Amino acid sequence: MPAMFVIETAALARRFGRIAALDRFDLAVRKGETFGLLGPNGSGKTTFIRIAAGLLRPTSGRIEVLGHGLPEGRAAVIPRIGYMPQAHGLYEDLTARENLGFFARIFGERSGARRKARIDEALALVGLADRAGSLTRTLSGGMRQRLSLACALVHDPELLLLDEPTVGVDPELRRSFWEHFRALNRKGVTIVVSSHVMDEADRCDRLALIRQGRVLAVGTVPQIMERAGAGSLESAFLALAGSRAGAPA
Amino acid sequence: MRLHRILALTLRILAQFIHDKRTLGLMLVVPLLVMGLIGYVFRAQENGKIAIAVVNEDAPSGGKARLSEVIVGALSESGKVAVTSLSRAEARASVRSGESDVALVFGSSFTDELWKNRRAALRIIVEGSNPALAAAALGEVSALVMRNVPALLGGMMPKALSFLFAKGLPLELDIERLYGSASFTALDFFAPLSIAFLSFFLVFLLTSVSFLRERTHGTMERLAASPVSRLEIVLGYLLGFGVFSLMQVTILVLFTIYVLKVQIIGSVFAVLLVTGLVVLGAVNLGIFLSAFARNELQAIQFIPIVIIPQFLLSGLFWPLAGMPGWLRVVARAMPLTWANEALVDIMVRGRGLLQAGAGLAALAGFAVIAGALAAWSIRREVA
Repeated sequence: MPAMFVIETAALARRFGRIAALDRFDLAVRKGETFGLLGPNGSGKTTFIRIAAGLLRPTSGRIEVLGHGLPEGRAAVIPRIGYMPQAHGLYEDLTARENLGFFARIFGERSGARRKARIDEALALVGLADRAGSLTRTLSGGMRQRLSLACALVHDPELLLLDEPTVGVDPELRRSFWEHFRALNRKGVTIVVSSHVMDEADRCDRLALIRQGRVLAVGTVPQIMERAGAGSLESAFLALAGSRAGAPA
Repeated sequence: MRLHRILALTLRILAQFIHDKRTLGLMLVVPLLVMGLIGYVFRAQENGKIAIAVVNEDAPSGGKARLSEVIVGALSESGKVAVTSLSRAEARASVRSGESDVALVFGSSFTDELWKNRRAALRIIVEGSNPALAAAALGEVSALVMRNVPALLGGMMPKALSFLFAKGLPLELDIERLYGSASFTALDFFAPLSIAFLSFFLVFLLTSVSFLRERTHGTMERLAASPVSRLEIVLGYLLGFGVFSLMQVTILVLFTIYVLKVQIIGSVFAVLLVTGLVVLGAVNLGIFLSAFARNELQAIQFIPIVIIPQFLLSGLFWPLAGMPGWLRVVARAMPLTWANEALVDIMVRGRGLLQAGAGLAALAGFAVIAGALAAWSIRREVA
C-alpha cells in the first residue's frame, strides 16, 4: 500500500444481523486532506467511521489505517487517531479544561507542562479559552460541540475521524470549524468528516458519496459532477443513486 | 379541565409501560418475590422448634428421682423444642456454632437443692451476639419451664412441699452469654450489618448510575476509541470510588462507635478492612449491572433484586444455621452475609482478622469475580 493513503479499504463489509450497513465499500483517503463522507442518514457513514476508529470489527474485507490493518493493528493505530463521536461524549460535571485534561491523560500525555500546553492550544483552536473553567453543563450546545472537537484533538492525532461534527452548529461556528480543519490539514493532519448536508461538500478536498452502505463515487466536487453529468452535487447524487445498478463508474 | 387530556396522559403512561417490558415485569413480579421471601423467612423461623442442648449433671443423693429429668421431659413433650443431650463443652460449642439456640445446664446438686433449699439454680447458655434471638429463646424456655413443670413436680414431692409450686417454680435462672453482655442491645447487633449494608447500597447505586452515564452520554464510546483497556477502566473506577467510599465508610464507622456508642470489642481497623472489601465488591457489581440498564430508572430497579434479598438473608433476621440447605447456599453467595458475619465476629465476638479470614476471603473473592464480570461487561467489539 502506498504510504500516501492514510485509510484504504478493499471490499469492506459490515452486517448487523440481516442488515448490511457497509457492502463492498472501497475508498482511499490521502494524507493531509479533508475527506468528506456524504450521504443520507443510515447510509453507513457512522459504521465506517467506527470501524476506522477501531470500535467495530469488519464482517469481511480489509481496512488499513495509518499503515496497519484493523482490528489486529488497533493498539498501534488508536493513539494516533482523534475520534469525535456523534454524541458529545463529554463529562457534564467537569470543566472544559478538566475534560480535555482527562482525555490528554488517557492518551498518555504524562508531563503536566506539555499537557497544559496541549490543552491551551486545543482550547484556543476552538475558541473556548475564556470558558476553560466553566462546567460543561453550563456551556451552550455549540460550545459543547467545539469542546468535543477539542477533546478529539488534544493528543495531537495524525488522523481525525469526525462523525457529523457540524450537526446543530450555526453557520458562523460551522465556518470556524472548517477553518480549523484547513489549519490542521496544513500541519499534515488528515481529516475524515461525515455529513448529510450537501452544501458542506464544497469544503472538502475530496469526498465520497455514500448510499446504502456503498460508495457511489469518489473525487473532488467538480469530478463527481462531471462524471454524473449533473450541475449540482445534489443532482449528481440522485443521478448516481438512480443509475448505480451495475453502471460503470 | 378536560377529561380527554387527562386520559391522553394516562394512556401514554400505560403505553410506555407496555413498551418497557422489564419495568412492567419488575413492577408485577418483584414485589411478589420480595414479599414471598419476607414471608418465608419469618414464617419458617416461627414454625421452627427451639433447639435446646441439655447438660444434665444432676446427681441427687439418697436415691431421689432426678427432678431435672422431669423438666426436660416436660420441655420435650411441649412439642416446641428439640432437645439434645450433650456434655458441657459440647453444649457450648453447639450454641456457639448456632446449632442450638440455648443450652440448659443442670448442676450436680440440682435436685438436692430443690429439696433442701426449695430453690435451685438453672444455668442457661445463650450465644448472646444477637440480643433479640437470645431474649426470644430465653423467654420461650422459661415460659415452658414455668408453665409445664410445677404440676408434674408437685405430684412427685411430699405434700408438705407442693405448696411451693403454687406460685411457680423456684428456679433461679443464671444466664451465661458466650458473647455480648446484659447491657448489649439490639443496636449492637444491628450496627455491623447496618454499616455493611449502607456502604454496599450507597456505593452500588452511585457506581451503577455514574457508569450508566458513561454509557449513555457517549463518553464510553470515546474511551473505547482510546488506548485505555477494560481492566484499566475497572481499576480506575475501583480506585476513584474506592477512595471516596472509604472516606464515607470511615466516617460511618467512627460515628457508629463513638457517637452511637455501639459496643465494639475487636479492632476498628479490622472493621474498616471488611467494609473496604464490601465497597470494592459493590463498585464492581455496580459497573457490571449498569450494562443491563438503559437508563437511571432501570438502574434503580436493581435495588429490590440486589439489595433486599441480601438484607433479609444476611443472617440478621434468620441465623444461617437455621436455614434449609438450599437457602443457606443462596445466602452464602451474597457478600452481605459474609460481611455481616465477619463484622459481628469482630465487633461483638472480639475475634481478630485471622479468625474472620473466611469472611475476608469470601468478600475479596466476590470483589474479584464482580470485577471480572465488570471488565467483561464493558463491551467493545474490538478488544
